[in-house]
Amino acid sequence: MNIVIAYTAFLFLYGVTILNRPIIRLTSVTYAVRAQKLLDQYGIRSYYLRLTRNLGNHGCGYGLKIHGDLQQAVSIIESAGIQIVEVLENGEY
Amino acid sequence: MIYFDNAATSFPKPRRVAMAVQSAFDTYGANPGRSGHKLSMRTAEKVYEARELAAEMFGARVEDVVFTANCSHALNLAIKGILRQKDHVIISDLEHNSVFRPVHALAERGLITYSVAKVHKNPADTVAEFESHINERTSLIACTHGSNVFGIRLPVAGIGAMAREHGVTLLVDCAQTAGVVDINMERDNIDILCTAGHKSLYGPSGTGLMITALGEHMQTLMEGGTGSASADLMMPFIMPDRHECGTVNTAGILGLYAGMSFVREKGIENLFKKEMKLCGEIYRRLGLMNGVVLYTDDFTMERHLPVISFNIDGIPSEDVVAQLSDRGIAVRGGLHCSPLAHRKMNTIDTGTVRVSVGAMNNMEQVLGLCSAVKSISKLRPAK
Repeated sequence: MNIVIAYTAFLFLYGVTILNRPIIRLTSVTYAVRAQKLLDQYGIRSYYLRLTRNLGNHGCGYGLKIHGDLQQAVSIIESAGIQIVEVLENGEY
Repeated sequence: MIYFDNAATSFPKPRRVAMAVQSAFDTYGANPGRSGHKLSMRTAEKVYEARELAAEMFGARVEDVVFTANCSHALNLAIKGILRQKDHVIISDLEHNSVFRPVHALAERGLITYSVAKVHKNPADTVAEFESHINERTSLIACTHGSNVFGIRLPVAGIGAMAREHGVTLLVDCAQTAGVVDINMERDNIDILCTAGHKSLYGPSGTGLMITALGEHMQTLMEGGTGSASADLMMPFIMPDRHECGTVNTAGILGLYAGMSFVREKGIENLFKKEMKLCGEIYRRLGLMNGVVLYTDDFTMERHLPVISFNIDGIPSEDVVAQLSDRGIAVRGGLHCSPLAHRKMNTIDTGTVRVSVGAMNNMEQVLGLCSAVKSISKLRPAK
């Protein structure tokens, strides 16, 4: 029973802390890697991933899942002249 | 085998290049920038690292680096991408056909006009010569950074500064200089840089680069899949995707990264000094031989590359090349795809024997080459 409760709690926390992290949609894989390296320099962890939703509007694309301050990440990326297509605050992609 | 044909392609490559190419099959085998799985992402990271290193080497932004199949491909992307109908272009009289032919082809179709500017010994005279050809339709100067036949360097920074005063774009063919001399696009006023990856950047054949901040505004030469903005029928207005459709040459790019890292580790200045010392010795020794004709008045660190041309009086250049080949020495004869340069030097009918030095050459090989040339020169027919 305790194992079930612990596993459920783990899934809940995982969902809150990982899955729901906001995502910044970028124009290409090159910009996704560049932005990730840039954020890394500022101590903001992020992971790039292939986006799967809203393909009809944007086509295939890449985004960064942000593990840190979203506004700071947006500001850093924009300051570097990297175009942000959209910010998916609820982390759904 | 003594290899002095590095201006065609460098050989041998650093060992790490072969290992990097192999890693594209063993470790980084997925399509970079197309899929979302980890292997694709890891491969994309490796391609990005190569792009980043190229940007660092030439003083550019990482996204402005476009991987191409070779330098001719890069030059075609640039020339046909930047020019508009009725534009006027200036090229030099030392151009390789990789610049000359695409420019001439556009002119033949009545789309553009072009002029050929003479390269002088004095750099200021060369800049003035280019300037004298500028007219109200001139939009582009497309010139080599250094002759692939005679090793003569052009003062591109000066040409670029003059071009900017006139609002003219400068495209430089760096096939013979990338990895040989220090190039910084911003410092040297270069708007578009094109180069091969398989020469003095020591990458595998099938690699090249076009680097430019103007890419988003250039017309595309090819259209196709980019892995980005794929719902849009137009090619994306983002770099490098706009000019990099289709799956990239991952194995070549990883090899190119290894080649560029070799150059960075050795230091461009150190490599240049070494190669010029070896080539200078060849120039000096050939200059002392009876019947050997050289085509430049001097050989200097400031105005030349480790590339020289010669002929043996009375023996066709291709015959000299064949005789050297029989002695285990690889050089190149003929016109070297550069008829303009050969017309300039009055060698259009005979061609020349070209010796091009690379990072792997040494003084022992220089002495072997010179000894072989001397023995062949003694076989020339009596006048």
